[in-house]
Amino acid sequence: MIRTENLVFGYHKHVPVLKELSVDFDADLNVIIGPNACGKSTLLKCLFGILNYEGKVFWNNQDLSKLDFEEKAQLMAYLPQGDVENTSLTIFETVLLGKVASLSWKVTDDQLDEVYNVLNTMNLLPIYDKKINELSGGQKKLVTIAQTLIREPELIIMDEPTNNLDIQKQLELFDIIRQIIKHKKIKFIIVLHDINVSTRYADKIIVLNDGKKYACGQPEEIINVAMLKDVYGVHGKLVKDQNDTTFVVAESSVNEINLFGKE
Amino acid sequence: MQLSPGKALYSNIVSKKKYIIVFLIIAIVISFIVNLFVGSAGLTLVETINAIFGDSSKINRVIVWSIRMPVAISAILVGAALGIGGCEMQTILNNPMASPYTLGISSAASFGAALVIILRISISPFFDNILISLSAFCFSILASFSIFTLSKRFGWDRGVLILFGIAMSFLFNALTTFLQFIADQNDLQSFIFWSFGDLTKINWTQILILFIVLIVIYTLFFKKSWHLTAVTLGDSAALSLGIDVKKMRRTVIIMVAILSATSVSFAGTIGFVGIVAPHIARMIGGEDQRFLLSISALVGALMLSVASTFGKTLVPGVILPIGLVTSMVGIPFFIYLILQHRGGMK
Repeated sequence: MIRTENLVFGYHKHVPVLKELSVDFDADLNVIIGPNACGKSTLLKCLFGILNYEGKVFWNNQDLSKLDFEEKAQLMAYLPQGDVENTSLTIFETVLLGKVASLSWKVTDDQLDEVYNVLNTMNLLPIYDKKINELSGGQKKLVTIAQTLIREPELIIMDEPTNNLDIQKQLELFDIIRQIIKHKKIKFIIVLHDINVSTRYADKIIVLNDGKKYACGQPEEIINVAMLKDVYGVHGKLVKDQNDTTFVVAESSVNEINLFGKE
Repeated sequence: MQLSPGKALYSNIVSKKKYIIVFLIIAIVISFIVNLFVGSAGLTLVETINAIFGDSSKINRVIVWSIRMPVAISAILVGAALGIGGCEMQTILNNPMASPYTLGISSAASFGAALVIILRISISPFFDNILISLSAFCFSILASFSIFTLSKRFGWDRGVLILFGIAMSFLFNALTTFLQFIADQNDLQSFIFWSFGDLTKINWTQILILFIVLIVIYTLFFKKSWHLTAVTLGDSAALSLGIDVKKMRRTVIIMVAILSATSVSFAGTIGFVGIVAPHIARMIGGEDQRFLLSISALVGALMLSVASTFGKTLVPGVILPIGLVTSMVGIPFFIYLILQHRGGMK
């Protein structure tokens, strides 16, 4: 699907954020984890081609830098970290915009029914005519996800989609993603902070640390005590549930915090 | 016939907007007729209608066709141009305070006019007015082009664009003040009259030019209405939908610059319509640009058409410059809008 080769990028000269990164996102649900400022969001932006990187990003052996935004948008959807800006568009109109490439003056019944179905899937039908600027952060997130789903691209890239979502909505979102993978054959690359949600749902986890690939593989191969200490700087332990899924319990930071002097 | 479930929901959202457009068109037609009817010559409605269709005395025909008609039509065209320009500037800059003049166009146009009037640049007296408009137009385009070139270096950042616009306004205001400082009394008076924002000086050729520019630019914007709607979601959201936001911003700036420069060079600076009309349009018609663009144009046209009538009636026997009327009505309305907008915040 999509892979990077010796990807280098820095927002300032001589301060690279990504350091010769080569990653193959070949699973259905690829999750990128890592500490703050390790380059996760930057990597996603490079994959979508928003940033001018060095190195290569390939889509099935095709150099992605050769495609323009419209062509890239046909292949993949990128859902950035922030919310959409406050606008008085309704939820229905916002989701319909997912089809922007094929919309003309008159919207077809098929396009409208697609919006209807996606709103139904995401439980947004009861508030279809609410304006975006009247929504909570979590609801806005669901609307952007609905907008992404209606496009039916081959790959969906999401930057921390669970931000602003409560636990129930987080789990529901990943159940929706799992069903999309199964029924629509769409692949996902998702940046997450929650290691436990990652281990529960990911097919492949890519651990980034300081702009480099620390480890990459199936959750059970990747998540271990040494990784927690090396990458996140925490002491922790692993526990397993009845389904043999590994969970992390972080216990303390490696660093000693002495805000008011030693007690 | 049973509507599909998606269509049923969508009809609820858009049907109201179609009625708003029809209502506005009717309101503009009425306001246009009233504008033709009102004036110091004291024609009755029947005399006015007869004069329109040629079945009247020569003097009545001249009053209606040569004096009132150009003002009434240009009120609609200039209003629509300001409405469209304001709407698209607010859209691409995602800033409710943006207007067609955000790029320093009105200050540059004033300077262009001042240069010709005060320095008495003239080819022949017959061409004086054309030269003033041409100079105003060229300087407006020059100001936009400078901002265009500078913004390119900063990746078309919205904040940078607005700041350059403010800088450009201050620069041209200072240059104009300098020209006013060295001008003699008569030239100063002519320039001040020019800068008022006035429709009575527009002639039929200028109306035709403005009409063509307006139709071409409206059509180009209309074709891009889905993309422009997507831009309101923010740069990254639009980008992820496959829209090249920088390219979009570039194109819109060029088109708004041409439209506003044409209108300002013919009619002078007319304040507030460009800011307020798109706001009203958004309030009544939402953000979908297929409707917003037309509603902004229609609201702008209606506002200026009504203002033009008021300009003739507020002080008996005197036609107030339209820029004066729109600003006097516009400022209280503008404050009301800000209070409404910030109403939720204590």
